[in-house]
Amino acid sequence: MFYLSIRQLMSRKRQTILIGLGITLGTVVYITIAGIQLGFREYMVKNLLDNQPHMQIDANERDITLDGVTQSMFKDSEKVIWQIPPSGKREDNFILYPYYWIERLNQDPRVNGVSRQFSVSAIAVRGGIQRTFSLQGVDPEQHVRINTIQNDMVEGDFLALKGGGNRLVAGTQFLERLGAKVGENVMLSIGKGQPVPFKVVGSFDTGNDMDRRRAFSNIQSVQQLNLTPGRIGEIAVGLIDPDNAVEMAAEYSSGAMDEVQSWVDLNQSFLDMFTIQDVIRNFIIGSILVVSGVGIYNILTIMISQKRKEIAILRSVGYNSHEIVELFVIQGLILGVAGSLLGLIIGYGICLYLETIKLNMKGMGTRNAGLLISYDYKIYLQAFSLAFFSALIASYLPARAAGKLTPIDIIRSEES
Amino acid sequence: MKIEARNIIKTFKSGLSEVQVLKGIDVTIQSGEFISIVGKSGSGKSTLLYILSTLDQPTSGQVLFDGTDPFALNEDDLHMLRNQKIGFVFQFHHLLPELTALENVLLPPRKLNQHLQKQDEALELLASFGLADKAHRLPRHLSGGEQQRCALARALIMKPAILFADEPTGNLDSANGELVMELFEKVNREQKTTIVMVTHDPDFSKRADREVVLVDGVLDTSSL
Repeated sequence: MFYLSIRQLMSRKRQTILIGLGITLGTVVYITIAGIQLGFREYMVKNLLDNQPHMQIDANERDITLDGVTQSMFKDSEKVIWQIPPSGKREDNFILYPYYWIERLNQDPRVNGVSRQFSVSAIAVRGGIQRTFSLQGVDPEQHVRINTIQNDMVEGDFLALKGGGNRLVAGTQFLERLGAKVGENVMLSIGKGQPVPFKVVGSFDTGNDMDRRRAFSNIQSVQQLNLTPGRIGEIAVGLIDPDNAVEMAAEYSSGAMDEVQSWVDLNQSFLDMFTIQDVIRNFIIGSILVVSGVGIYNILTIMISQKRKEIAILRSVGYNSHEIVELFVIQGLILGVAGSLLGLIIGYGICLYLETIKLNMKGMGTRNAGLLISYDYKIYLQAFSLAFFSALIASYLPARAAGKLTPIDIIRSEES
Repeated sequence: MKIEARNIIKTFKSGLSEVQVLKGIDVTIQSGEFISIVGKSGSGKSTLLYILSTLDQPTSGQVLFDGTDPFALNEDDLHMLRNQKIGFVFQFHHLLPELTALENVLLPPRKLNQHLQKQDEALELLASFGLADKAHRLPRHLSGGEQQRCALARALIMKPAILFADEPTGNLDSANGELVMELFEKVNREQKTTIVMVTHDPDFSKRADREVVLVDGVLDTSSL
C-alpha cells in the first residue's frame, strides 16, 4: 500500500505540502520554544549548582526558652518568678556539633567535598569609602572542590586563602566599588572590635550580580574577626551526583538537630518557575499540534470522501478493509515523518541562529552570552514523537471510516 | 466456475417501509457460460449482479460458487476470492486517476506483491486491447472507450474464472461499445471465462449465450 499511498500524495501536491508544512511548523515551534526554555533552565540550574552547595547544613533557629534562661542565670536552687518571661530567637545561630557532621560526611562515598562555612555581614573601608558586604569564611581547599569559583578567578588564586592570615578574595565589582585592587589592604569590621586589615589576594567574576557584595576569606580569619573562634554557621556539601541531593538531604535530616537542605530545597521557588514554564510550553505546543492534527484530519476526511470510487475499486479487486485503512494511515505517517523531520532541521537551524543573538543580561549571570539554547536530544525526540503521533491519530480516524465503506455502499451512493 | 443462486431475496429499507427488489431468484450459470441480465430500470438486475458477484449480500437465499457459499468465507478469504477468481467491470470505468493505465491493470496482482511478475502480461493484455501506446498514460489522458478497455484488462489480469460486468457499454459510443463486446466474446471463447453481464442494450444482450430477463425482481421464466 506504500506505493499507492505515495502516488496518492504525489497526485495532490498542494494539499500534501500544506499538511506537511503544518506539521513542520508545529515541530519548529516545539524545538524553538523548548530549546529556549530548557536552555535557560539548564544554564540556571548549572549556575545554581556551580555557585551553591548541593547540600547545606544550617543550624536550626533556636527559641529562647524560659527554663533555659532560668537555669543558666539562676541555677536549679533558685525560685524565680518572671514578670515578663524571656522569649524570642537566639541571635547566635551556629552548628553545635559540626565535627559529627564533617566526620559522617567524609565517610560518605557520595560526597565530593565538605566545607565549613561561617558568614558575617561586614563593612569594608578603604580611604573614605565604606561598603557593606557578605564575608564568607570557608575552607579554601574544600570550597574549590564543591564550587567553580576557581574557574571564575580574574586575578590571583582562590587557594591563596589557605592558612589564614587575614586574606581576602573579593568580587571584581565589589573591589571596583571600593576602589581597591588585588595586592592592596582593606580594613574590615563587623561592628564589634577594632577594624582589621585584610589583604586582597584575588578577585573573581561569576557573572552574578551578587559579586557586587561578596568576598571570601579563610574561615578562621572570619571567626577571629567576629570574635567567635571555632564557630561554624553552616556546612556546605558538594556531591558527586547532584541528583542525589534531595534523597541525601532527607536521609541526613532524619533525627538531626540541624537543618539539612538540598539545593532543590534551597531554590524551591526558583525551580517552581520551571514547572510553570513547562505548563505554558506544553499548552502552546499542545495547541499547535491539535491545530495541525485537525488540519490533517480535515484534509484526509475531505480526500477520502473524494476517493470513494477508488475505495470501491480497491475493495472490488480484493483489497480488504485493513488495507484501505493502511492506505490512508501510511499517507498520514509519511506526512508526519517528512513534516516533522523537516521541522527538526529548520528548528535546529533557528536555534543555532537564536544562539548568536547577544542579550547582554549581566544580572542574570549570563554575561557575554546569547540566547541560551538547549540541544538536548530529548527535545528533538519529543518533537518528532508528538508530530508523528498526532499525524497517526489524525489520519487513523478518517482512515478507519474509509475502511468501513463497502464497495456496494459506495456504488449505490454514487448511483443515487 | 459454476454459479448457483437459490431463492435470492433482497429487500431495502426505505424510511419505515421495506422494498423487496429481488423476490426469490433461482438461477444457475454454468462454467464458461456467457449470460446477460436484462430488464427495465428498477427491475433489480444490478442488485442481482452485485449479489452474484459477492459485493452485496442477499437478505435471504444462497449463492454458491462450485457448491461453496462465498458469504460463509472469512473476510480475508472472500477478498482473496474477489482478487483471484472474480473480475469486475463497472459502467463508469472506475480507474484510479493517479495511476497509469498499466498501474491500474496491475492493481489486483499488487495486492499479492505479484505486480512485477505480471507486468509483461499486463502490457500484452493492454496491447491486445489496442492500448499498447497508452500503457503509461494516466486515465485522464484516455478516451472513455480506452478507459473501459483498460478496466477490462484490469478485471482479466488475474485470469478470473468469472467476469461480472455492470453495463460495461452503457457509457460508450457504439463503436467503442462494439469493441468492448468483441473483447468480452473473445475472453469467453478463448479463456472459457464465465461472464455475467448486465446491459440495457438488446443487441449486445442477444450476443450472450443466454439472456436472463428480470421483471420487477422476478425472473421471466420464458427467458430461461
